[in-house]
Amino acid sequence: MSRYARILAGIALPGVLAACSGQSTPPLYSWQSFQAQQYLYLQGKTDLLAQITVMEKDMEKARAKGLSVPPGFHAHLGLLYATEGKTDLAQQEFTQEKTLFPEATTYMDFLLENLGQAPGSSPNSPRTQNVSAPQNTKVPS
Amino acid sequence: MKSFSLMGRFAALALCLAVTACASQVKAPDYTAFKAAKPRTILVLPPVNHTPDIKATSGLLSQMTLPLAEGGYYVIPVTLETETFRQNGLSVPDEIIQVPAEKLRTIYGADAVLYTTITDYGSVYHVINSNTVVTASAKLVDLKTGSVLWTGTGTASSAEKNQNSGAGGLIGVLVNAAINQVVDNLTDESFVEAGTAANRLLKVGPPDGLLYGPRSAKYGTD
Repeated sequence: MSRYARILAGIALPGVLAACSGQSTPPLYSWQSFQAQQYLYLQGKTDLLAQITVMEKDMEKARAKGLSVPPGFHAHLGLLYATEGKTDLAQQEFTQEKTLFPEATTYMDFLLENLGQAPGSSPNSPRTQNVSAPQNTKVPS
Repeated sequence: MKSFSLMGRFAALALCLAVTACASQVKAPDYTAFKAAKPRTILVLPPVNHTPDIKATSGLLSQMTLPLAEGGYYVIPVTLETETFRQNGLSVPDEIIQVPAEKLRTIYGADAVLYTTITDYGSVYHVINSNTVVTASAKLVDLKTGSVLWTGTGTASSAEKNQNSGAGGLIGVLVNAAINQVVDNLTDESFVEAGTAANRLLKVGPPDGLLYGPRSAKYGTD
C-alpha cells in the first residue's frame, strides 16, 4: 500500500505542481508592441509609415528568433499597406495571414476581394458601401 | 519498511495539500455546450462602454486578442474587423452588437462571437489617493446555434500593483514585456490596467476560464 502511495505520489505530485504553476508552456507568439500598435490604430492616432516601420522590424526580430507573429499581425500590416495605397503588399500580407492561419480564410478572402476598393481608401473617407450591398454579404468561393 | 510507509503517507499528504492549494473555491461552470461547439475562431466585438472614458473600447479591444490567441484560438484581427464595420456604417459598439449572427459568420468566418461590456475604466478618486480601475464582463456565443458557451468577468486596479509584482503567470509576463516596449506617452495607465483586466477576463483554462483552443498544447485536456 505504502509503495503504491509513493509511486502514485511520485508521478502525480510533479504533474500537479506543474499544472499549478502554469509556467510549463512557452508562449505561442511573439507579441512585442502589437497590442499598443492596435490601440493607436483604433484611436485613429496611427502614423502609417512609422507604424509600418515598427511592425516590419518586429516581424524581422521574431523571424530572427524563430518565433511566430500572433494572429492578426500580418492582416494588420496588410491594412496599413492598403491604406498607404500599396495594394500588392497588402495582398501579400492578407495571403500570409491565411497561410499561417487557415481559420482566417473566409475573412481574408473577403478583404482580398474588396482590396483596392474599401480598405485601400483613406480610413476617413466617406463610406459608400452598405450592409445590404451584395458584395459585402457574398461568401467568397 | 515502516519508514517507507511513513514516506508514503507523507507523500499522500503533500499531494492532498498541493491539490487543495491549487483548487480554489470556484465552482466549475457547465461546459457541455462549449465542448459540443468546439470553436476555433473567435470574433471579439468592440466592447460596449458604460463609462465616460472614450478610450475604454479601444484600450480593452486592442488587448483581448492576446489571452485568447495564447489559449489556442484564432482571433479575427480587431483593427480590420473595426474597419469592416465602419465601412458598413457601424462605428458604435451598441450598434455593432445588433448585427445578426448569420451576417457575422458569413463575413468573418468565425465560429463564436464575444460580447463584452466595460463597467469601470479609468480613475476612481478617493479622499487620499486615486486608483485606476478597469472592469469588464463578457459572454461567448456560438454563431451557429446561438448557445451561450461561456461567461466571465475580470477586473484590475492600479492599487494592487505593490502586492502583485510577478503575479499573472505567463500572460502577465508577456503583457509586461509588451508594455515595457511601448513608449510611455503613446499609452496610459488605463491601458496598462486594461491589459491586466483583459487577461483575467479571458483567462483560458481551469477552473472557470474558456476551454483551451485547438492551437494550444493543452487542447482537449480540460
